[in-house]
Amino acid sequence: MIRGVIVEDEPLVAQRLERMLGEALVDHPFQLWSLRTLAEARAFLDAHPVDVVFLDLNLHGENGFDLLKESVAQAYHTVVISAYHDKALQAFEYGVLDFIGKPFTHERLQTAIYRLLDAKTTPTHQLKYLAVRTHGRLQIVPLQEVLYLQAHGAYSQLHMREGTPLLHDKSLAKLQQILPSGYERIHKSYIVELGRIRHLNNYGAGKYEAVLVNKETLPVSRQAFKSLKLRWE
Amino acid sequence: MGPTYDYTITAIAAALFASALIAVILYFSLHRRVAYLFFALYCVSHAAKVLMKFPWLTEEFPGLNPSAVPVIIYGIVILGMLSMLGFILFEYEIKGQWRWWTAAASLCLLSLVGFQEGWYINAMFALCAGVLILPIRRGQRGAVLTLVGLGGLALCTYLGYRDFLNFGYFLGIFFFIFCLLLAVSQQIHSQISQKQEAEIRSTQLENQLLKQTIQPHFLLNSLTNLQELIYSDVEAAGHFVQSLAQELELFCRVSAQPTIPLATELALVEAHMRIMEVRKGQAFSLETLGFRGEEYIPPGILHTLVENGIKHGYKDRGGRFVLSRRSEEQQVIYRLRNDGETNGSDVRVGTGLRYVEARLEESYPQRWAFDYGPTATGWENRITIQKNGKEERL
Repeated sequence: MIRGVIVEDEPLVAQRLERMLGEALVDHPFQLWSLRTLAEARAFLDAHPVDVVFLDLNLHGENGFDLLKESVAQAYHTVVISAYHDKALQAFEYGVLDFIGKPFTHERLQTAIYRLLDAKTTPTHQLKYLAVRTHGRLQIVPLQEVLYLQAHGAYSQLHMREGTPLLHDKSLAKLQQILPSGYERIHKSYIVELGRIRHLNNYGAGKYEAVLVNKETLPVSRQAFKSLKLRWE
Repeated sequence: MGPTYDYTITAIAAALFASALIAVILYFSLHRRVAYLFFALYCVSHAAKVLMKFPWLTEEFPGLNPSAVPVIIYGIVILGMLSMLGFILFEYEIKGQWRWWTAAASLCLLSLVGFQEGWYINAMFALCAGVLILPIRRGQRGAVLTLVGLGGLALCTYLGYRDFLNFGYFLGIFFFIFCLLLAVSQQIHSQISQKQEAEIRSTQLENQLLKQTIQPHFLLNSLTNLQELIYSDVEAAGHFVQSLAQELELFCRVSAQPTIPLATELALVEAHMRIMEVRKGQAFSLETLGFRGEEYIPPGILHTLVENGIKHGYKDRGGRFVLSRRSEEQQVIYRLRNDGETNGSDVRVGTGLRYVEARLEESYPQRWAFDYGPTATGWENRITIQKNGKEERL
């Protein structure tokens, strides 16, 4: 079941999104809510877990980007739908799943849905920062400061090069979708960037290990090892 | 016996006539500034004075009574001093000129009843220097230079009188004319650069207005609505395109003007409201009070305020705008009120408001006020324009 929310204050555009998303998700069970204001959306999202939010943002002012950072820190994916095409790159850097410029076609929306349904990283992703909510405050973490990512229940733990780990509201699976290429899922519980790996150890009997640059070791699953070794070497 | 020429004197007279000619050319080529005619008159009168002191004059014009010569010279001196005053008054746009002319006329009368020529000239020098204090204090370009010229003229005349300097008086005149020409060129230079600056400002405003309306996100958002209308309501799509075209056409037409008829501005606001009605799915209206139908205002300012009002005041409902005009003895007050919400993050200091202020300053320099803020029923923008006493359709 895919649960999505549209936040759009122009009814005709909301109507277009509802219709086209319905068509794009025809093969999947889905629920779609359409909200007019940010206040309504916040109230709704606080009470209902969802998978994706289609957000119309006026990204021109500072306010728009604050809202964007707030949204990308959440457990759900954010797809921005905006007339400010020039802000697309920056939006990707902060971790939106997709950025759809207005006006838009059915095909473009379909691409966004493919990205949502595909577990793998989109090659075009240029994520540079992760927004993390800690004690109600938003913290922007440069991705290069992150050594590796670990599943932590429904959340993910970001292990930093320095300092204590941070907890991100997104699941490891969702983070994998927005991370740039070069980040490998080496285990169902671990994602690491190839450049951070110093050695790969094969102990036989299906036991594999990655030694990181800081000498920390992470388990590598049997399925991941072959492809990892190929790409790492 | 042929006339006795003094070549030095002839050369001085020729140079004075040449200066007069330059001043006349300046008059015709630079907005017919009266000051330049006074300048020409000043030069001509001194040239005449030089020629009158020639013995050959009476030889060439036998009908001229030699005893009339000093009287004519005296008249020329008065004319020369008055044109010096006239030049200063007009060049530096001194207000309340009649006071200075009255003072000068009194000195003329005094000189006729026995006040000596030398004293008259000194008194006129003092008067001119007195007038110059005003533009110097205002920092007007060239005023200091004119005073320097005047001082130089006084000094040279004094030295010539005391036999320290040959042709002292005429050297003084040339020094004075030289300073005046420099001052005039400074004035011209500052006028040209002011004009250029105004043109640049005007072009910037024009660009800003166009950018504001034909800004990509406004068009792109509108086009997204149009996409859906084409699918869901073809007839409404046609009307929507019409409103969009009307707004763009009006904008291109008015953006270069400093002011436009209020009716045109209202048509612009109307077109914008029709577009926003479709986009927001809500009704918006604009009512007007107290207009005679012949008012002019800078383009795009009401449009900007209504656009801001719709953007910030109405999250999920329609709205009503009321534009009123009240003319008082000294000023005209425009008020634009709407019933939008004013709570929450009402950050209204943006490029839109700066645009309104810049346009007001362009059309009504230093005599406008722009206030805005929440009221009990919504939001109010108030523009006050001081009347300038001239024919102005506010």
